[in-house]
Amino acid sequence: MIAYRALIGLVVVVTALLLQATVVGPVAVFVPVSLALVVVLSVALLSGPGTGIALGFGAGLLADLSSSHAVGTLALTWMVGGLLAGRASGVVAPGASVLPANRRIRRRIDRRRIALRLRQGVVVGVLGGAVAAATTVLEQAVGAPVDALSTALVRCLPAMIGDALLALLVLPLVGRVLASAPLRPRTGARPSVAHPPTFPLAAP
Amino acid sequence: MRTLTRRQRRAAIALALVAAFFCALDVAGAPFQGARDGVQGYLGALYRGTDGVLGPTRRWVQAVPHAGGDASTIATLRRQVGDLQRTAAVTAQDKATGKSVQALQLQASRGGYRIAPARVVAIGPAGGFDWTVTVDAGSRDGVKVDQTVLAGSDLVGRVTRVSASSATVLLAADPGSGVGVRNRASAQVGVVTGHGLAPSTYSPLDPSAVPAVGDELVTGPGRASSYVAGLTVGRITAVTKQSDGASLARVTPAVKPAKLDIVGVVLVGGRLPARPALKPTRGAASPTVRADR
Repeated sequence: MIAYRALIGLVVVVTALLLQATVVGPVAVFVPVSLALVVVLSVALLSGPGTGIALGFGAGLLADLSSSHAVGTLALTWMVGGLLAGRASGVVAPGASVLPANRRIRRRIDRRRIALRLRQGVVVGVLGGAVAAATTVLEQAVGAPVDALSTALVRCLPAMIGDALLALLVLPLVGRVLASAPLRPRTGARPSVAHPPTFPLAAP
Repeated sequence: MRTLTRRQRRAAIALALVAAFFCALDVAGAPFQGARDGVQGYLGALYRGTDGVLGPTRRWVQAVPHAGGDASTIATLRRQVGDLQRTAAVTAQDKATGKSVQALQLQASRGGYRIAPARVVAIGPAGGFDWTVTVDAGSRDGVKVDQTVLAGSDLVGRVTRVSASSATVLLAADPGSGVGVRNRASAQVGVVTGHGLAPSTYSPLDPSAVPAVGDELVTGPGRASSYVAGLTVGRITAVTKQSDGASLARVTPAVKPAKLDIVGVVLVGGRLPARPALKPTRGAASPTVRADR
């Protein structure tokens, strides 16, 4: 099971890196948007901190190896980002996915769902921008700390906005993939995020 | 906020330490080069494949913001290219015209006559079977009927009709016209008869004269010829003996009617310097002879 999830994770991360390099990078020229980061944060937001830590570290390491800065920078920052997104999953996680028959209630739930998605997008955006800023600081901290700080602050806001927009596109896809049968966490082994726990689980 | 389980906390701290360790290692020295090369090589191949599929769409999206500017730039460039091509064509034509006019100038100086340069504007008359061309010099340029028309130092023909701004020239190749010529090599006089597209024929006045292949024929006295003397008519290419013993030579004309462009009309005949009479010399042993021209 874990091997299966790891394989899926690898495929998703590689695809995200590919699309970032060939499509997102050239189109969003001056905005430091990172599709792979958005994907990692979305998965962490919808799955929990454990997945966030593991996926963040793995994806970050792969992204580090495919670029020219010190190996470990992106691994560290993306892991922390995944951790924070996982922690936020308790707050902005989607509610019950059972659809009532009443159309008015359904519409209300749809509106709530859209609002929820927007909130999730904002969270991912904020985290994404913060991670980008932190990465910039780490990358350039050795040479010129003051410059690094100002560059990071300049990149922070556009990265946040860009990441939030991307997240609005990515989150529904990630949600659908995670809810599919092979990836749905086994009930009882771990608290499932799709169905909020109705009884307190004993934490190890 | 979801809190981390102890296992997760420990895992996070451990991974953070590992990442920091990797950072330090990489900054210090570099055991990661092999892994880096491997990943970048693999991803590079994947990038190329993906770009092959998504590239056109991506480039289209990138071009959208400055599509308007590009369109106007393309239009401007097209106009410039058209202008430059026209200029190049005109320059080439001007060069050829310049060379022809230079040849005419040379001939005018050599022959001592005035030449009106003209351009051939039509080949062949509107109806009729004469071998004629129309040139764009006319009576207002001083052209008169029966004046010689030449191209460089070669004979083209004779003016037959003149109007105010154009003239009709009968070509030497016209079947039926005869040009009095002199064989430059042997000084024999004869007549060259045109045969249209076929090569002209030359029959010497003296039936016993045998022209040689390669002899050059220039205009000279011969049938009441009004051509200016000294212009090349053609070159002998073959000699045959006719039934009555006289020789008949085949002549390639010096001028091809289809290639005529700039021609000159000789406005006055060759100006012969006044020939002084031979006078008996006083006391000199040998008489002096002044060559004319």
